[in-house]
Amino acid sequence: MQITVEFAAQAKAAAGTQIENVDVAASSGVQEIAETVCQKFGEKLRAILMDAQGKLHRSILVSVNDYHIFHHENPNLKDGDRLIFLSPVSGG
Amino acid sequence: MGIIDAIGDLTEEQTAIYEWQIAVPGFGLEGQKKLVAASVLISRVGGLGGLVAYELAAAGIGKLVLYHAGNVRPSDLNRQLLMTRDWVGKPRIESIERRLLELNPDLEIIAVGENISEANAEAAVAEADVVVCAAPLFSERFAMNYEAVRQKKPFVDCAMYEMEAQILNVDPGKTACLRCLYPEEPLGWKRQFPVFGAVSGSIGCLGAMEAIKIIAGFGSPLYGTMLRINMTDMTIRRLSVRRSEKCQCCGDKP
Repeated sequence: MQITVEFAAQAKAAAGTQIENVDVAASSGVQEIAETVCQKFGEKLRAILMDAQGKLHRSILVSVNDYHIFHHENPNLKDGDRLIFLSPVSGG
Repeated sequence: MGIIDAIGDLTEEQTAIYEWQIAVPGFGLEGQKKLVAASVLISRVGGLGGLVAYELAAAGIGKLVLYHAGNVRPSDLNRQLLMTRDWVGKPRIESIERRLLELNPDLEIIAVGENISEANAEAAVAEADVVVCAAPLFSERFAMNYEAVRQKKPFVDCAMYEMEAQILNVDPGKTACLRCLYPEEPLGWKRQFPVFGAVSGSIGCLGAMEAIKIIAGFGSPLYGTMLRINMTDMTIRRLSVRRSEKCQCCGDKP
């Protein structure tokens, strides 16, 4: 199936792209897709998205179709879903 | 219902100054009286918070509580509109106070030349009816979020990065707080990041509007919804966010 993955803020800078269509196995979960995009875009993205144990870092806000997802829920996605990895931003 | 009870009457001069916004349906004279009676904490008061403060001062807010440390640097001047070139090397908070009082001499200001921390957040939040977070470091943001939740003060969170900006309001104990969204600080965050003043200023203006809506009790403040704007292509999206019952700050079962 194909998922549209959007990277925001620091995650976008690390991936070098804002939006990417990614082919993944049917019913893949958020964590698996995070691993897939880290393999595709490399260590800079991994350093933003993942913790030392290879899990999504707890600072990353995840949404599926503009609906906030808690990491522990790790839902299985459907073909055509839009997944956003949003690293937190601030003022200044 | 807003969070402020309207008190007293406006002077003739105030009525003349604010007549354009008093004419806004749902706000009116009652809304203006609430605004004049209200106080807002803003920290920091730079490229983002400076615009929040400026718009609130122009709109006739009664009191601003402002926290911002350090002296004006040349690199502040692309976005921090309350700083002036002649004030480089001098305290930012003095420039902020001076510029705001030029605009609105009726404004009461508590100006503190410090940034928010766990040490001063409790006292800072206690001075205000609404808290606007515009700080660059997550330790400051989480300290303000914690105290706003604990003291049950509405919290307006504004942020930006490069060409992106976002805003979210927190109704403590009812809607998602910052810690519900970000249980930990981000990896590799740096105080300096790429941004235009027009990006920080835009989201600052939206922050001021949200604070006014909360105070006056009109419109639909962005509770439970994060508004995200990408100014590269002017995409605007709304993200529904949820309160976590396990939240270390506002959760029922942390």
